[in-house]
Amino acid sequence: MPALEINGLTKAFKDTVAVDDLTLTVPEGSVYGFLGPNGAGKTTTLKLLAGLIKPDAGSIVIAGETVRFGRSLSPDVLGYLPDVPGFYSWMSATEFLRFCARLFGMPGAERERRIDELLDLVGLRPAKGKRIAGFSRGMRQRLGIAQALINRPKVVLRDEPASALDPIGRKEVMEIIRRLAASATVFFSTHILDDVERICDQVAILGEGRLLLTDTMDAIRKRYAHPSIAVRVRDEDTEPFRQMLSGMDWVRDIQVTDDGQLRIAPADMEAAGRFIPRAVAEAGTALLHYQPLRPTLEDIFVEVVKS
Amino acid sequence: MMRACLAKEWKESVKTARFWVVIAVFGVFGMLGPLTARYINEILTSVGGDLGGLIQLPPPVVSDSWLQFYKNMNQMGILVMVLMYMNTVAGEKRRGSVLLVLSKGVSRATFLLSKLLSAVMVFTCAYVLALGLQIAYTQVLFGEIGNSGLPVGLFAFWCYGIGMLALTLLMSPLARGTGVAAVMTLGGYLLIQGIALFSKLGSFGTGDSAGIVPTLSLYSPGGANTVALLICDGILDPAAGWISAGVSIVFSVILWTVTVSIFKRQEL
Repeated sequence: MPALEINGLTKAFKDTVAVDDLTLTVPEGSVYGFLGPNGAGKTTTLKLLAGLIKPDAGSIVIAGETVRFGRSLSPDVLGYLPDVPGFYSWMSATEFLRFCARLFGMPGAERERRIDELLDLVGLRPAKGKRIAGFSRGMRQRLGIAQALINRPKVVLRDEPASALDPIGRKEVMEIIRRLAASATVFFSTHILDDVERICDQVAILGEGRLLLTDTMDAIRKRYAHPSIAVRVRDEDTEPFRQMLSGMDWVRDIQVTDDGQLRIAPADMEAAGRFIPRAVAEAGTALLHYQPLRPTLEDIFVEVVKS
Repeated sequence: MMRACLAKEWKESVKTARFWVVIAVFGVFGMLGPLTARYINEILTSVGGDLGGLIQLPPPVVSDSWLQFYKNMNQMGILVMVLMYMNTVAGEKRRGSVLLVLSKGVSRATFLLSKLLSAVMVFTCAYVLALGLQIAYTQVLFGEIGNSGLPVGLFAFWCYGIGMLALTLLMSPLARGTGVAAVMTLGGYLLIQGIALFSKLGSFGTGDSAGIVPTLSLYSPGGANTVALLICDGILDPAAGWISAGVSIVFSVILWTVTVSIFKRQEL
């Protein structure tokens, strides 16, 4: 059974279609990255999944249960973390988690054990008695993760879990999410591609509310990953060299970056390895830098969104 | 779930000082009512200088003490409650904490009901304190407490307080922001007070204190303090207090139903 099934999901706000006929399936146990530029409809989709806003059309099934606006699912189905989690600042982290556990009717001993487990998981044990009002953004985000897991949910929804954090905070949060994969399916939205590359098995790319692409990371790389080579030559004027290469049949594309580096997209990497040094010599210059480049998700993302 | 929400609301009232502010205001005005009523002539003489002697007030009686009590509770006590609770739902929407709570299976009706019950509990504690002080000071200063209709009048006023809290909660989810919620709630409060005042003004000059005033006040959601006072003065039969209480309860139930219905349809 898939962890999450979305069929024809549509939501419009006045004249703006935020989510347009979205259909996707998230396999159980996966870490699923929901990618898209700002305004693509990611937050709206997650709110629809959490039953907080009403869809205009379509259906959502999470762990076998149909999501209905304003209605709750079984207690062990869903954990939700919004993009900016709001807490009761007068509470401590322990008090907040205790409140959340009580909402699920968790009995005393189990509740306290679970709170300790989660405080350890998100690294908040040293601050467990501190009032949330004094928490940093990273601490709030980690507490947000903990509260979403209090009920041991089958599916965890996260909206931009690390977008407002510094690189260290982001790395910590992503590491926590990666560890969760053993116990739950994680569906999280982001526009930070590094995060997705680091921890996701599968990816969906959303643009202007529509699903542009969905597949495993490996399949996406195979399909969209066109390798390239970064080349730097001695001469500042690279134009003669670029013109020489662009006439060759193994060259698909050549771009010159702002710092004078050439980005060569070859049709055949082996041929490129043979011909580039020869071409450098023929042009009467010297090869200063030669580096095969592995395409990043950012390259793929830009290509998909543009196309 | 309801218990967890209610416990959280109660703790929030205590920890954010909301409870203590309400207790302090009600406590102070519970004491001030009988003192002001008993010593009004002395106060006028001491602060009015020569003019003080010109104002002749009849010797204070026990119903003057209750007049002060209901006036203070209505003008200050209820107003403070409204101010303390007017952003209770709008604030959670603004902070986003409502999303965390509602995504954990808490129904919207439970969410609102816990807030209303908590506010009612705070109001009841403060009201009981004020009442205790009022009774004690009245007994000491006037040698009696009041007539047999007093409990019904007090109950009617308590029901009126709950009606005002229901109004406060209705305005809060309706508003998009906390500022709008505040303006709408205070507008609602003033409207109710205006209707009550209009009921009284309607009979000015007629000398008919047992006619139009009680009739309009009896069926006005804001008329409980007038009804309670008229019972205290022996102008109205104590049974009228039950009618006034019933009007407040019906008013609260209607507001509550509307609030839940609106909040259930709101996208967050």
